[in-house]
Amino acid sequence: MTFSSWLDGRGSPVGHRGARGGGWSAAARAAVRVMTGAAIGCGLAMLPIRAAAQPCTTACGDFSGDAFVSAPDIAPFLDCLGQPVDPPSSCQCADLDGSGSVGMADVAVFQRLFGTGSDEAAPGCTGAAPASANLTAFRPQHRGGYAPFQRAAVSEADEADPMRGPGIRRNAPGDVDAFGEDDLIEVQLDVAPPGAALALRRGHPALRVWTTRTRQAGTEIAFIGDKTGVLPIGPAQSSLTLWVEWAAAAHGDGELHVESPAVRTPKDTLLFRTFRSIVIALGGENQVPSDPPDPNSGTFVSAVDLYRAGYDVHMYDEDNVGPDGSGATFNEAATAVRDRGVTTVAIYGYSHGGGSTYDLADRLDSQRAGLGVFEIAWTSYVDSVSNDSDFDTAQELRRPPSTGFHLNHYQRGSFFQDLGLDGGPVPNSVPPPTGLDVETTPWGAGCTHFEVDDFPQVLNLLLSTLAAGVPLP
Amino acid sequence: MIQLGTIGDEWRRDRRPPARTSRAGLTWAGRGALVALAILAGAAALAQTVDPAGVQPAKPAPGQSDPKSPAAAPSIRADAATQSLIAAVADAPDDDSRRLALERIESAHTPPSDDMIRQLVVFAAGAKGTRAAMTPAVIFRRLDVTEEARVRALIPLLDSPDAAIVSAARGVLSGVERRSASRRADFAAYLEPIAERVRSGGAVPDGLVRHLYEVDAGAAMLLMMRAHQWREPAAIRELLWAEHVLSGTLWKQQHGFLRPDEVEDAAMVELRRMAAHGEWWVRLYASELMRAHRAFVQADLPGALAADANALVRESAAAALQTNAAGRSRD
Repeated sequence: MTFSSWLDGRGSPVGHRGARGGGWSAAARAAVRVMTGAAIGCGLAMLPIRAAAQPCTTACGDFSGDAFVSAPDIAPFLDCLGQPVDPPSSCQCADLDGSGSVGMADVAVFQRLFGTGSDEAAPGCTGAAPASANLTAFRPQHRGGYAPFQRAAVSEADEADPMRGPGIRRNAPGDVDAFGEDDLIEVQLDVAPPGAALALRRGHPALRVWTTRTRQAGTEIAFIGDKTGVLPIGPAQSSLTLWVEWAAAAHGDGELHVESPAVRTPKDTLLFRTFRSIVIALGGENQVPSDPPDPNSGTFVSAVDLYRAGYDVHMYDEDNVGPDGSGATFNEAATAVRDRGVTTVAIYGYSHGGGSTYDLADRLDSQRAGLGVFEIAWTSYVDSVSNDSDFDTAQELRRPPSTGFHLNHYQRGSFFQDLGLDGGPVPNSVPPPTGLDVETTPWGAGCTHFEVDDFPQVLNLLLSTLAAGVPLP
Repeated sequence: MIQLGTIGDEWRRDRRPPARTSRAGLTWAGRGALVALAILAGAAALAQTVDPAGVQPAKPAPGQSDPKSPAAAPSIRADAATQSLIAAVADAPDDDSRRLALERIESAHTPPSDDMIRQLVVFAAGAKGTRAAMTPAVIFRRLDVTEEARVRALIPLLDSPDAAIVSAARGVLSGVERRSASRRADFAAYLEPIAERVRSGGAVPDGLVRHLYEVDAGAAMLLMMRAHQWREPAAIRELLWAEHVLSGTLWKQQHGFLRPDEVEDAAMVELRRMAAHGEWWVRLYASELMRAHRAFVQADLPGALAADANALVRESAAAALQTNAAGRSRD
C-alpha cells in the first residue's frame, strides 16, 4: 500500500477535518495532495505510521521526535489543520509560520521542510528554512602547525568512527608540550546560509572548544551544560575554525554535534577519542621528514599513511635521537606517556633510524619509573645501522629493550654496491626467528641498502603488523 | 663549493698570519703545505693568552693579530678536489668505478690528515640523500681514523659559522663520547686537548665548550676542572659535591622521585653556589642547568648571569631566560 492509497482508503482528509473541525475547502485538499506528492517524491512508498498527537518537544513540525519532518509527522500535522494552537495544544508544533493558526501557509512550510527539519522549536516557529552545517576535523597538530605533515582532514565516512575518527590528545593541566601547545584538534565548521545561527553540543564534559589554537584568553566558546550558545559566525561568514581540546586527565570519547540553538537535532557529528598510543618514525641519514614524502623514504611514506589513518604519528630526523636516546623525540614520547596517559608506544626506523629506534627504546625503558605505565608494543628495523655517531656504520643487531614485538627486515651489503651498509639478524624478531633477509625473497634478491626501505612488501608487512599490535587511536 | 668559514677561535688568535683564505685549485703540494700550516696553527693556539680572572674573553697580546680582524681569520673552505674524490665514491655508476674512487682516496689520504677528516665532515654536512650522507662515514671507516685524530681535527669545526657543519661535527664527535641511556657522556677524549690548551695559556674554543656543556653540563664542568689541573682537595670536593647533588636531582626527576618541575632546597643552594663561583666554566654549568631544565630557574639567577663577564655565560643565561619565558607562556 502506498501513501497515496492509504490516504484514499482512509477517506478524504477533508471529511476527517470535517468531523473534527468543520469543512475544508478544495484548496486544503489540494494542499494535502501536494504533501502526499512530496512524501512520495521523497521516496516514501510504505504506509507511514501515524504518530499520536503529542506535545511538540523537538523541532517545529517534528511531531514524532525523530529529528526530521517526515512521514510519521504528516498525520498529526493534518490533524492540526484548523485546530487551535494556544498552549497547551500539541498543535503548536504545526503552526510552522507562527501565525497563531494552522493553515495553508503552514502546509507550504511543512512541504518545504519535509525530509529535513526545522531549526526552530515551538512556539517560536517562523517558517525559516533550516541551515545546513558540516563539521570537518583534522588530524593532530605538530608544534606550531602540522609540519612535517600536511593538514589532513578526517573523511566524512570516518568522522564518527570510534577507531578511524578524530583522535585527540589529552590536554589536562600539567601537560608539558615540548614545543608549545599543539594538542588541540582543528575543526572547520561550514554553514549555509552564511551567518546561520548554530550551536555546539558535546557528549563529554572534557571537550572544550576555542576559536584560537593556543587557547588565548577570551576565545573559549562556553558550554552551559552540554550546549553552547549561538556560535560567533558573522552575518556574511560561511565557515568558522574551531579548536577542540580534551581537557581532562582521563581517557574517554565524546561526540561533538553542530545543531540549531533551539533544538537538539544534530546536523553533523564528530566522535573524538583520546589517543592511547603514539607512533615514532625515524628515517635514515639525511632523509627529511616531509608530506608528501620522498618516495625513496619508505619510513616516511608509511608514516604519512598511518597519520592519515588516524594514528598519532611523529616523524623525526633520526639525529633528533641522541646516542643516549635523549632529545626532542624522547621528550615527545615522554610527555605522551607521563602527561597524556599514552600506554602504547611504537617506534620504527631505517638505517641510522633503526639504530636510533634502539636508543630511544633503551632510554624509555630505562626511565619507566619516572614516566608511568606503558608498553613498547611494537618496533621495527629496516636495515638497521647503529647510530652512536653520524659516521657509525656498524650493524644494529640488538633487539630494542622491552619491546613486545619486533619486526626486522635487512639485506646483505656489498662494499662496492652499497658501501657495505646493512642490517642483520636480530634475535626474537618477526618473521621468526631473526627477521627477514629480503635478498632471500624473489622480490628482494640483489637489493641494496638504499632501496630496501621502499619495497611495498616491506611497507605492507610493517603497516599490517603495526595495525595488529597497536590499536587505534 | 661549501664555505667552511672561519673555524676555531684559536686560529683567529693565532700569532701566525694566515697564508691564504682559499685552498681551492691548489696543487697536492700546496694542499699538503696548508694542512701542515693548519696543524701548526692549532699548535700555536695552545700558547695563546687566557684572562687571569677567567671571566673575560682572551684579548690578543701586543703584536698578536686582532681576533676580530678578517685578515686574522683564515677562512677554511671545502677543498674542491677532495670533495670531488668523495663525490666520486658516492656517485660511482658501478662497482669498478667505486673501487677505483676509493683506492684514489686511500692512496692519497692514508693516514688521513686532519684536513681530510674535516673534508669528510663538510661533505656530510652538505650531502643530499642517504647514500651521499653515508659515503663519508664509510670512507672514514676505511681510513681507520683514530679517536685522537677525530677529536683533533673536528674541534675547530665546532666554531664554524655554518650551522650544518657544526651539527655534522657534533654528530661525528658523539662517537667518542660513548653515551647511552644507562651511561653518561665520557669526555675523556677531550681531556688532553683541553688540558694542553690550558697549560699553554690558550683559551678553550667556544664551540667545543658549547658542545660539551650542551651534551652534559655536569660532566663538562668536571672535565674543565681536571683540565685546569686543580690541586686543592677542598676546592675539588666543592665542585664534585655540587655536581653530585645537582645531577642527583636530575636523576630523581627522571625516575619519579621528584616531579619534573621539583627541585630540592639543597640543590638550589648548590646551584647558587655554582652561579657565584669565580671560574666562568663553573658559572656556565649553573647557567646551562637552568637553560636545559626550567625547574632550576630561580628568579634572580639567569638575570644576574646574563650580565656575566664571560660571553659564554651571558649567552647561556640569555637562553635560560628565553626557556623560562617560553615555559611560563605554556603553563
